[in-house]
Amino acid sequence: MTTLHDRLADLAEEAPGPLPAPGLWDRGRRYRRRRRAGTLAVLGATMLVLALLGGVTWHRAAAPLQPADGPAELPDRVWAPSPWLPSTDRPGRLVAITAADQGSWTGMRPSLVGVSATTGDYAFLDDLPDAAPDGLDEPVLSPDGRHIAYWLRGATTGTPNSDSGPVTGVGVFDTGTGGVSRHWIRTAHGLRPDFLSWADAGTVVFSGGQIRGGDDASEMDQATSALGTVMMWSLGSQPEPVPGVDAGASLIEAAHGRIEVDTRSSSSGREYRQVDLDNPSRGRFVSVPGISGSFNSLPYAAFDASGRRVALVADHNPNGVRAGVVGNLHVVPSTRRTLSVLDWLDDHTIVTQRMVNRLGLGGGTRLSRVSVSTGDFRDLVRLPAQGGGWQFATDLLSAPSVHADPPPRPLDPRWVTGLAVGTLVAAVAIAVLWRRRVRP
Amino acid sequence: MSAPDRGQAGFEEFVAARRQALLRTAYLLTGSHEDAEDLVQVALVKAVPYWSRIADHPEPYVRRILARESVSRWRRRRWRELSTDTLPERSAAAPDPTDRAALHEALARLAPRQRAVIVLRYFDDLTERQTAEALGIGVGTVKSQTRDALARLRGLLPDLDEEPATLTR
Repeated sequence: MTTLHDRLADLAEEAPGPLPAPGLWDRGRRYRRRRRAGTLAVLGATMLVLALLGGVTWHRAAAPLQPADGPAELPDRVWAPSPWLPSTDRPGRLVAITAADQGSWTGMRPSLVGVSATTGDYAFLDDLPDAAPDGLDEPVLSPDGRHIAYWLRGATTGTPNSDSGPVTGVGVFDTGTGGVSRHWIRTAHGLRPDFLSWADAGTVVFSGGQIRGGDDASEMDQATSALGTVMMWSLGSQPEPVPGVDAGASLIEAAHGRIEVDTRSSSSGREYRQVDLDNPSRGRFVSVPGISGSFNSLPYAAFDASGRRVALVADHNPNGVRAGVVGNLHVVPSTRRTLSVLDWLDDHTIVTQRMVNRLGLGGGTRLSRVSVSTGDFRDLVRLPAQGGGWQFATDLLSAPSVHADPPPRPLDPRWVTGLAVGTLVAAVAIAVLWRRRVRP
Repeated sequence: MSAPDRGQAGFEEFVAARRQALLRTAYLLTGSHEDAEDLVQVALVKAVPYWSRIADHPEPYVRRILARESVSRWRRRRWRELSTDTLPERSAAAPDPTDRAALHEALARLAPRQRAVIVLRYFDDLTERQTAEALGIGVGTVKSQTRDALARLRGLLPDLDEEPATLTR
């Protein structure tokens, strides 16, 4: 009886005798060289692709924004920022801010971009500490570009009104130091912001009403709030109510150390209460004839430093600008596409935001300095057609205008990483395949 | 003598000493004289780049190349060649053509990895672990492939049933 081993051994006897096979060693050496050459070629191509990728990434990367010395300048153009700009917690003096989507590994999230007043660089501002959820109220840039005021989110004494934050105070972010001053407001369920603005470079004015109900209250109570007290906060001191201003007053403008609040309308126009925050007990009423507006569509007005001149876009938007000494306004020629008036530069010149074409499509908008007597204008800043709204440091609207290049547009790091990993995986696969397939 | 020369000399000594034994295994793996010769040459050539590392004990490495190459080249050929009912040529000088032909035909009907497992386990007398290492597969796969291959062989070679001790090793 034979085993399987024996039968295999018997069959193996049929194996051929070794034929002359000279040069096996040399064939082996050539085989090694071919494998090595292929591997090196793949390695070289991989390095080239990775170097190219790294070069493009480096070329398109943006330098981190840091505080810098130098005179403040007004860029002649601002650009829709890339979601992949760097972020900073100490940007230095800013000339403008805008809301923008910031990219992350998991997607996009709303954030804030600042433009340096000294370098013109762009950067995302790291999440403002304790900031209330986005959408409640935009952070506000101070006139000198050195601070950003925003609503805080914090703890309530009762059941919080979660949908609204809850908002529990006001914070001021110092762009030079990165520090934050916080004013917490005692609240049972949270505050409903009415307004938040800067009266001058060192004074915030704000108002927020106490919400009547938290998450466990009726929908009605959750949706209603008390009239908010109008507060002024000089940085370095404690906030205090503005004397003589009713709770729930609607803010028309805060600038030049004053606020103007809407008081009443009449057949001839509207009447505002003008309060000088340095001496708030001495408020005065100013009448602006020829404009109407309901409670929900008050025309925001820009008063000059003296408080005697006003410019506004009334009735609908866009529309022509009316400007002049309070009580004697006239329509400024050639301004019918104006969206808003930002400020007065001097007794005869205002800065407006206007649409480039009638529908405002494609060309975006411009900040322009406009002569209130002739309507002659000169564009100061060109704004992008896409993206969020822009806030400018109004003190810098008279700063020297400089040519602004577009900010860097860094590559999406997810694509870069994916391409790099894909390249490496492909290279390894090709190299392994080559080394397996190459015939001796 | 320089290091490369020593390597070449050792390689050629190995070839001279072991080529016939390798050819026997290769013949069982391929069932063809030409393929066996080619398979052995390829295995030897592929061993050259690693010779400095395996010079002290080259045979396991060469046999590993032999076994893997036999499986992989069958896979490559499967897409290039048509199957046929005609088996490869056989030596007319076989002393017992009936038994050899039956085994030759039975091996040809095995899947390449099953065939390799049978040859390594029952001709080269490798253990299951050594067979697994030689083919780059798991021990469990070796066991299952062996079981399936033997079952197939029993169907093709009824007299194998008379060797239970051998078959269950």
